Amino acid sequence: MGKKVQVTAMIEVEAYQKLVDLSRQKGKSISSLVREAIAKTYFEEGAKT
Amino acid sequence: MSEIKKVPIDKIKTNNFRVRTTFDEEKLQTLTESIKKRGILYPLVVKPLGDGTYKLITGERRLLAAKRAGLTEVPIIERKEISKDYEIIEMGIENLQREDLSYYERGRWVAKMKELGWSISALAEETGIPRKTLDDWLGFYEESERIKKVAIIATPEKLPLAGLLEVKRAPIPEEKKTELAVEASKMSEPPSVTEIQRATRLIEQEPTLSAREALERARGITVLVPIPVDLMPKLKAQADEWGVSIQEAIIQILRDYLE
Repeated sequence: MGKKVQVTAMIEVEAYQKLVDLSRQKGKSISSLVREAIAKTYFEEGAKT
Repeated sequence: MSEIKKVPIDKIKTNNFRVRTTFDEEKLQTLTESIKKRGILYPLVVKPLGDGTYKLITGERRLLAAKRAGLTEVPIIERKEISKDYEIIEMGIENLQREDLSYYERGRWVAKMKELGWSISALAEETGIPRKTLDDWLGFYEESERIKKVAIIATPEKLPLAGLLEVKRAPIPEEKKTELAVEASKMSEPPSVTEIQRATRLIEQEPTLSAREALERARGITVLVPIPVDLMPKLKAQADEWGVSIQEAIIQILRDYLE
C-alpha cells in the first residue's frame, strides 16, 4: 500500500508571493511550479556537466 | 498607613535571600545618576530588627545605587509585623513586575517559596500569577545546568516565556539551545514563537548552522511549500552537487526559477 508522504521546505516570503502570482498567471498549482523549478534546474545543471 | 522616615544608610542590612542574583551595570549606573540628582523617589521597605538596624525587604537596587551616589540617609517604610514568608513574597512581587528579571531568578524565587512550605496553588492564589507560569519558572530553576544557563540569560523583555519554552523542548543539542537563547536575547526585536520554531527546525536540518543565522533565516523564511516526493532524489543530488543542504538548495532553485 502506498503511504502518502508529505515533504515540505521553508521558503522566503518574497519567493512565495512570486510563486502565488505565477500560479495565478499560469493556472498551475504551487506544487507543480515547485516541481517545474526543481526539474528545470536539475536538467539544466545536469546538461552543463 | 506606614509613614516614611529617613534612616542612616549603614543601618540597613540586606536580606540573606535575594530574588535578583545579578544587576545590570548600565541600569544601575543610570539609577545612581538619577538618585544623585533627585534622591530616592520610592522608599525602601524594611523590617526593624529591634536594635536600631533594619532588614531590607524591597529596594536592593535603590540601596546599592544610593550607596554609590554617596547618600548617607535613605527614606524607608517599616513593616514591623511582616512574617518571613511575606518578606519573600513582597520581594518577589516587586521584582517579578520587572521584565529584566531572568526566568532562572523567577524559578529560584518559586523554589524558595516552596521551601517555606507554599504549594504552587497557594502561591498562585496569593500572588495572582497563573499556576502554569509558576510551574514553568520553577522548571527552569530545577532543570539541568545547561537549561539553567539558558534561563539565566533570558528575561521576559528579551525573550517571551513561550519562546523560551520552545527553545527548551526543541530536539536540538543542549549547547545549541543555549546559543539560540543567547542570540534570541540579543536581537533588537525579540523573535516570535513561530520564528524560534523555524530556527530550531533549521538547526535540526543543518546542525552546523549557527543560532544567529538560523534566527535570521527564520525571520525571513516563513512559508512552507510542498516538495514532490518523486523529485527528492534529484533535489538531493542537486544539493550534494552544490554542497548545500536540501533546504538551501530549494531556496536557491526557486530564486533562480523566479528571476
